[in-house]
Order: sequence, then C-alpha cells, then structure tokens
Amino acid sequence: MGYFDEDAQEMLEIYLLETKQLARQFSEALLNAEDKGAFSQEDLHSVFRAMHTIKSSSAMMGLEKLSSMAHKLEDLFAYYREEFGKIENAESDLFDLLYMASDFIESELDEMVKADYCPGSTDEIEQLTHEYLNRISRSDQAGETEETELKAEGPSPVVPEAFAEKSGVIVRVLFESGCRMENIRAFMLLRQISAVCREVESYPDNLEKSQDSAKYIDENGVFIRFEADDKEKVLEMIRQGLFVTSCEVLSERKNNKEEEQEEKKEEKQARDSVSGNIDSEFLQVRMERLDQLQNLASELMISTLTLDAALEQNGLMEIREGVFHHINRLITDVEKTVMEMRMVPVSRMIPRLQRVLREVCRNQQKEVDFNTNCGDIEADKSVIEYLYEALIHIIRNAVDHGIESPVEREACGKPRRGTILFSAENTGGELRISVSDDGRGIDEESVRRRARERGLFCKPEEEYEHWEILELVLTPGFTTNEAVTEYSGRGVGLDVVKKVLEDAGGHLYMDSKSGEGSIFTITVPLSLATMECTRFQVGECRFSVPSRYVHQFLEYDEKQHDIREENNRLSILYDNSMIPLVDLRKFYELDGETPKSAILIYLKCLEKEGCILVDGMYTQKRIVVKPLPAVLGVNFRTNTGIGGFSVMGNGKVCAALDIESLFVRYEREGKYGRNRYK
Amino acid sequence: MAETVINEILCIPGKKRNYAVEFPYIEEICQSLQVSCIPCLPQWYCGMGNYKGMIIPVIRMERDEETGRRMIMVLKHEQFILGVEISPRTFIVQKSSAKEISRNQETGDAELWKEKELFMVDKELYSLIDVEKSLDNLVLYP
Repeated sequence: MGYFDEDAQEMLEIYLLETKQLARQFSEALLNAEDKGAFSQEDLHSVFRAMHTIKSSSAMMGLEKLSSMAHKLEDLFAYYREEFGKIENAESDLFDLLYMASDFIESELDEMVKADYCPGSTDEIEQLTHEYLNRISRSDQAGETEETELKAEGPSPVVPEAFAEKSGVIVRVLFESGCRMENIRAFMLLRQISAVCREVESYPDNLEKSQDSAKYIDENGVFIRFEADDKEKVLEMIRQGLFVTSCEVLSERKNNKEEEQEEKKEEKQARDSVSGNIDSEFLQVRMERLDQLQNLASELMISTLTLDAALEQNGLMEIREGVFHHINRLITDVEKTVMEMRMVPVSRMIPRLQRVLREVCRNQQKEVDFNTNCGDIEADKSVIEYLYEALIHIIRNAVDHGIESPVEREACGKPRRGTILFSAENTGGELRISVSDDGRGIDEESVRRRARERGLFCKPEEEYEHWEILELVLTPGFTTNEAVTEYSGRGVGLDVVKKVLEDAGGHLYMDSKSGEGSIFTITVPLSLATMECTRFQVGECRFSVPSRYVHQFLEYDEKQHDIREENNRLSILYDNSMIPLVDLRKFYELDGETPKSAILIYLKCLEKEGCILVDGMYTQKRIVVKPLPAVLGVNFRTNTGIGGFSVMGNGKVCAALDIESLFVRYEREGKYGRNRYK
Repeated sequence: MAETVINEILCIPGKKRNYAVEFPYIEEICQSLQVSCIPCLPQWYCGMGNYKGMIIPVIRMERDEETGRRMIMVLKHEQFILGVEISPRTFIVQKSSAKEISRNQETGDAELWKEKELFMVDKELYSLIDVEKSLDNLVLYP
C-alpha cells in the first residue's frame, strides 16, 4: 500500500494532470515576471489562482504539507494583490523563494507516482515564505506609518464597538491632512460605494449632519463597514476617493450565509480541479489513451492498404470504388483528427528551456538573453518531448562551452550579455529548429587535438573538411573541456542529442565559427505517426522515402548519357551540376538486373541532394513508419541508411530510407556499400 | 520473469543441434508469417515480418540452415522481440523430466545462441537457450 488511500489513488492521475498544468502556469508566470523584473496584475492573479487550487486539491488528496505550503504562498500573493495590485521591482530573493517552491512542487509531482512516495518537507519553504511576508508587510507598514504619522499616531486602530459583532469588511480610511470637511468627504465616499454594496455604514455615523465628526475623522479617520459581492472593487473605489491617503482593512467577517456559500464554492472548485469540470470546453485526456487511439488509427490505415490490395486483386472494383473508398476516407479523417489532437505548440517548450538556461547561467555566472521566434508552429507531443530532451543539452552546451563570461565578452569587444536565439519553422511536413549563440564557437584546433589523442580520425587528418571535424564532437564521450563542470567535461552531451534525434527520425547539423558563435539546426518530422511517402521496388526489396524529399522523377533510359563514374562513385548531371547517384541495387547488393524502365528519383533534404536508381514505383501513400526493432541495434540506421519499416498493402515489409544517412554512407563507402554482413 | 516458476520447455530439433526454450519467453508460435527481404541483414536473417502490427526480424535457428519451414516462434524479452524459424517437429517436455547433463566447462555458445543448460531428452542432447543473453548477443549494430 502506497501513500495514498484507495479514494485518493483513484483521483491521483487527474490530480497530477491538473497540478502539473498549474505548476507549469506558475513556472511560466515566474519566468515572465523575472524577465520584466516585476509581477503584473495578471501574473499575480495567475500565481494566486494556481496556489489556491493547489492548496485545495492537495488537501483533498491528503497532501497536507503541499497544501500548507501552497496556502502560505497564496497568503503572500494575496497580500501583494490586495495591497498593491502588482509588484514593481521584484526582489531576487522573492524569485529564489518562488523557484524553490516551483521546483519542489514539480519534484513532488514526479515522486507521487512511485510506490514508496512519502511527502517531502515543506518546512524550509514555509518558513522562508513566512519570513518574507513578515518582512515586506513590516516594511510596508513602516512606510505607511511614515506617510501618515502626522495623522495617526498612537496605538493601532481598533474596530469601533458599533461594528464589533457585525459581518462584512471593516476599513479605516484616512484623508490628507488639512483637506477640510472630512465628514462631507467621507459621506461622498459612502455614497459612491453604496452603489456596489449590499450594506454600508460608517463610524462616526450621520456624517453629513454632524460637524463634530470632521474633527474625529481628521484625527482617527473614518471607519466604514460594507458588505459587497466584489470587495476588491469597493476597496479600489475607496482608494481612488478624493483626498484619500490610505484605506486599511481592519477586519473581514462573513455572515453565516456567505460563509456557507464560500465553503460550497471552495468545495466545488477543489472537486472540479480534481475531477475535471464537465462544463469546460476542453477535456483532459490521458496521453496513453491518445497513443492507443493513434495506434489503432494507424493499424486501420495499414489494414485498408491490405484490403485495397485484396479488392483489386480479386477484381472487386465496384466495392473498391464505392464502400471501400468511403471507409478509406473516413479512416483517413480519423487518423488526421487524432494527429491534430496530439499537436502542441512548439512554444510550450520555451519556459522549460528558459528555466534550464537560468539555472546554468546562475551556476556559471554568465549573462544570457534568450530570444525566441517560433510563432504558432505545432508538432506532435512525442516529437516535442524528443526535442526538449535534445534542446536541454544544446542550451547547456551553448552556455557552458559557447558563451563567455561577462568580463571575457567585454574584453573581446562583445556585449556583456550573450544571446541565444531559438527559432522554429515548418518546412513542409518537417520541423526545423535552430539554436544559435554569439559565444566563442567551436575551436577546430581543440577538436582536432582531442580527436588525435583519442584516435578518432579514420582517414588522413588533412582530408577532413570543416563540417567533418565539427561532427567529431558528436562522438560518444567526446569533450574538449579539460575540467569537469556540472554540465560538461564528461563527454555526455551532443552524442545524446544525436541519438535522441535519430530516435525521432530527425537530424542534427552544426556550424560554428571560432570567436563568433555556433548554430545547431535540428530537423524532425512534425508527427511520428503517419507520413506521406513515395514507395518503390528494387529487386525483391521494397523501400520508401518521405515524399517531402522527392522533387522529381526521371527516366533512367533517357538520362544514361548524363551519368559518370569517378572514384568508384556514380554521379549524374542535374540542373547544371553533377550530383551523387546511388544505384540501390549495387549499393545494397541486391539480386537482378536494372530494367530498362528503371526510374531515377531526385531527392533533396536540408544538407544533401542526389538521385537514387530504382526498378519501379508504387503509388504514393500516407503510411505508418514504424521504428527500428531493438534487435537491429542503435547504430543500424547510420550503418545502413534504413531508418524504419512500414507494411505494404500486400503485407510485405517496406524499408524506410533515411536519405541523409544514405547519402553520407554513399559518400563514405562508394557505389558498392560496405555491408557488414555480406 | 525471474519470479516465474519455469517447468515446461519447448524442444526444437535442429540440423546440427537440438534446442530448447523456456515457455515464458515464447510469445507465440505462428504457422504463417509473411517474411520480406530487407537489405543489410546477415545471411542468417530470413528478413522482416509483420507480427500483429509490429515489424519484427525473423532469423533462422542455425546460421546455415535452409529457409522455408514457415513455422515461426516469436520470442520476447523486455524491448526485444524476434521471430525464429523452427522445425515443425517441436514438442513440449516437463523440465523436471529431462535429465540435466553436467559440463566440465562453462556453458558456451550453441550456434547463434547462448546456452544456459544441457539436457538429455529421449536419448538426445538439447541445449536450453539462455534467451536473455542470446537476444543481447543477436543485436546487429549495438
């Protein structure tokens, strides 16, 4: 039996879903506020609401410590909200405290799913929050006292006896000294707020008639008791009143009915936050259910290919063009809808990346601006997760290796603060993300030296081009840092990025100029589910390539005179330049002869272009490309140029070519690929 | 897996050797699984097959065995899943009824497979495959 009882256990998933969302909101509001150095009214409300809900829902889950901590933070933000409406010049102590709380909440949420979960201690955060609140409220009181000391010296104001047993909000209002006719000013104020109050009265009363009350108000202020639906609005009206210098809330007591209503409202809020509000326009769905739905939609698509082939083979064209066509369209729509449901904005990663950046900068004492430009581009949630994992390493790497310390930057004539630019664009079914920095760049000589030491050169060193040298930093365990820091020096980093991106069917490209900075470009498919693919056959084998890379088909027979062979590599004239030609039959050592009707496919991706020679084409289809089975190994893709598999309508398995890896292999190995197992 | 009491083993007569596999590792034995030709695979690979929507490699029981016996045993351990072409003359025995043969040296390789134990069943030797070690060993490009 874990920490949660049976009832709480049932609600745990939804609680986690909801609270993670709130924790994210909290974190985003913090980053936003830190960026501006201030909390706007909206930021305050957002944090207050998040803490309020976490307080209630955590209490319902039996998480008293977390609830108590959220309560303390709620108090802190309630204070700011009520007293100032915003925080100008927010102190770094406040951000440290809030980040500490944010990290604690996130770590607790991660731990809760574990069988041996035991709530962590919130004592330190609560104590710090309490001290912080005490400190600021004391300094504010001191400030207020200074401002009003001429008017309100002596002991703290007490609620007049006339209001002692009454419900509602009781405030003391002070007017500017020497404003005269204080009783009339107070009377006007009461008239003004009476429009938005259910009840309102003052002490002294009969303000408009009693001349004596002016003297009392000048010395003690006027006490106002009101009951209203919107307390904040009333307080704001009072504060905005003519000659009003301060409005201090002395007490707030709800009547029985209000208390009952409030309790019901809070209960409902807590219930809604845990169980999901049925009236909401949005419904939260567990990711694994969406994954399951996507798998089912993909299987349906594969089955329609099989059915289509069977109908055609058996000459059932009437069914194929009638009912089957209709069902096929519906299934395509289902698959498209599921895909859309899984799309999330790329910008969702940014706050988390900013947190990573903040942490590294803080530890390394570097100053970096993080500029982003990603519009409203969306990608599949799994793609975003892969990207996030890769981008963490890239950003840490950029700060640790790239951006210089402020002193170093100034010494070499750069602005004190470094810049990291994050941009994302959708390039026809592919997400392209680039992260550039204006740091010191990758020192080619250091990379060469370390590569020499580790014996990484597999051809004469002088034959290596700039990009090939840069690619060496992707070797597992490679580092040019002599010292091990928290973030680098152990050689764990960019090789992980490469691996993560390969798992997502993506690629990493690097460019760097010593002293000027580096740029890392990532390309990944927008969705891992289905892909518009061009399929073809060579001998007995079937292949596919993403259609976004296919630019032209050419008749092999007509282009034979444009083909040349040099250094064991074929090239073909295309658009006034000679580009690589991969004869897949030769490259993969497949049986049979190239038919006269063979086709050349011109392919172009981010860094590579070339033609492949194939026997014949199948129709272009949206297909499910499945990942490589684990038994083939993590290096199968780079060693073969095959990145996944899909099933054809006739049940045959089709190899999904990874064009980048294929062309890299071809450049390295020549027209007869070096197949390890031949 | 470690907690499972293994009592039944599937015995698979082979061309050079006989093999045995503990039942919990066997996902299914399929009578027909379409296998497709894929480049860059070793000679002891038959190709790739579509097993219930999953694309799995299908290999031969022995390196130079001829293909064509389309009975496929699907083995599964953690993330590894693999089809193995087997002889249709398979049979099940209780592990307790098979006579364990002691070896003077450590258990070794049996063709593609890592051997866990050696048994005598009906006067014939059977190598009990260590599925976990074998699957690790079969990874093509680790």
